[in-house]
Order: sequence, then structure tokens, then C-alpha cells
Amino acid sequence: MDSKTENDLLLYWSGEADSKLSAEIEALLEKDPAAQRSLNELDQLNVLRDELADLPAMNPSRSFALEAVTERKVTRFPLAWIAAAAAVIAVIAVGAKSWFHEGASQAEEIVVKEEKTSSEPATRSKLSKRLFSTRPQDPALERISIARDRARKLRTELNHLPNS
Amino acid sequence: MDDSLLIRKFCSDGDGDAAVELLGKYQRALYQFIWQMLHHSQDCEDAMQETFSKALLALPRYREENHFKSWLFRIGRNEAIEIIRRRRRTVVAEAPEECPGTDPLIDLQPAAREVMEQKERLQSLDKAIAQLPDAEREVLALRLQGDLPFKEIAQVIDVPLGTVLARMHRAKKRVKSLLESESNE
Repeated sequence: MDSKTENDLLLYWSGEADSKLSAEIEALLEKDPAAQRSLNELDQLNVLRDELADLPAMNPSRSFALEAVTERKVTRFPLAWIAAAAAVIAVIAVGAKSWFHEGASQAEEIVVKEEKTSSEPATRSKLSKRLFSTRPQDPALERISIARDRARKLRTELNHLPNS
Repeated sequence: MDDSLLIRKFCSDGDGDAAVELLGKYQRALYQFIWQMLHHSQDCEDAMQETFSKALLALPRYREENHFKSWLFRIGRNEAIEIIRRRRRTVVAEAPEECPGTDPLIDLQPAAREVMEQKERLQSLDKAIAQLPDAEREVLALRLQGDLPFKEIAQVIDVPLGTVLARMHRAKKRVKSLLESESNE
């Protein structure tokens, strides 16, 4: 049998031959015992394949499909959380920036208004007020202001104490 | 369920069950093909894990003009080839495993003897396939274990159809002669 016939026979056995080729092979099988023998050998391979497939080594004991999907979920989970956390931080940062910016511009407006309405020169208290008016809503600055007042009072009291 | 539908459900809706079903359909055939390529259970498991992980990762880029099974087998083949390459790089190569399931039977009753003979025959077949050259063995395994048509095998291993058929023909002849020589010993 030539190699072309062998190839055609393989395609026929595999169910990949078109109708024309199938008809040719069937005609050949009827008259050529060697072709019939070759086809039987191929069928025998299928039988052996089925027997081999039953061996324990040929059958996975684990579900690799399930493992792969689970593993993917696990690795994707922290990434999703990291992305979400990053998004939240970005939103907070943008919000805070605009909030401070808004506060500062409001304070600037107050100072500008005060300067416009008052023709007096800027006194120390006014400057201090201007300084603190830039962040009126900042509790830290408020605390600093209170501490400074207390320090001033203490200094005054100390000055009134007799020298030892 | 149809492969395309399962792929869509996984890629569009993130349906993990669809991916498990899709990969699970081909797990056994792929495992058997890789087993024939590697003949080593640990390597085989590593290749399977890697194949499925890579397939899941690449699934959104999968194009439907390729048959999914062939696409998956191509990934599996590449993984098996990579393991074979790694083995060749290592100084001490492990001997290929023999198919388990051939424990000696203590009580050789007629039925037990028959079972043992059957197991021995299968072991011989497995050994004969393992002795084939790589190129022939992979065609034989893709056709028999993978149940892929020759035309798809040609796509998977990227050679002309004629080459695939010639390799299959040579593999068949070689297995036959190996089995015959074994039975004569």
C-alpha cells in the first residue's frame, strides 16, 4: 500500500474523509485485504486506548479545573480589594484637597472683605486673626490658639510673682 | 452546555462554575495526553495546573475561530514540552514511571490471573507508547487520548496534515512491532 492510500485510510478511520474519499476507501477495502488489515489494526488501537484509559494513572484524582478557578479567585480577591482601597483613598484625597482649598479661599475672602471695610492699619490682633482665619475650622489650630492664650496668662502671672 | 456559551458566561459574567464545567469537560483527555508525553505523575499534575491557570488567564483573548479543545491542548502541549526541556537541562533525569495498577496479586486464582495478564498487557502497551519518538508519541496521544481529529492535531503541533498522518502511520507500525517483540520474549 502506498503512503497516500495509508493517509486516506487514516482519514477514513478518523471519520475525517469526505463522501468522495469514503466511497473510494470502501471500494478499496472490499478488494484489498492489506487495506482491511491496516484498518483493523487502527481499530485495535482504539480498543487499547479504551483499556488504557481505565488505568488509575490515566485518571486524575483531583479536579484541576476547580483548583484553577479557585486559585484565580483567591489571587484576584486581594487585587480587587487593593484597587477598591486605592480608589477610596483617591476620592478622599481629592475631596480633602478641594475642601481645604474651599476653606482657604473663604478665609481669604473674609480677610479681603475686612481689609476693604477697615481703613485702619493692620494691628497685631488683626494679623493674628487673619492668620487663624485661613483655617477657621481646623481644631488643631484652635488648640494652638488656646495654648497660646494660656501661655500668655501664665507669663503675666509669673511677672506678677515676687522675685525669690 | 456549549463551549462558546460557557466561555461567554465566564468572560462576561465572571461565572466560575462555567469555567469549571468548561475545563472539566477536557480534563481527563488532556491529563491522559500529558501523561503519555511525560510519564511522570507529579510532572503531569504540574503541567495540568499550569495549563488550566494559563487557559483561564488567556480565555478573554480566545477567538472562536479556533476550536476550544485544540486551543487548550496546544497550551497543555507547550507546558509538557517545557517540562521535557527542563528535564533535559537537569543533570540527573528521573526514570519514567510505569503505569501504576500493576501490583502483584498474591492469590492467583483464574480470575485474578486474567486480571493480572490484562494489566501486564496494558503495561506493555503503555511502555511501547513511551518508547516512541516524541513526535510520533504526541500525534498518537493527541489522536487516541485527546480524541482530536488529524486536521486539528496539525493545528495544535503546527505541522502540515501530511506530516501528522505520516507520524501516526509510523507510530502505529512501531507500537505493533514493539508489542510483537515483547510478546515473543
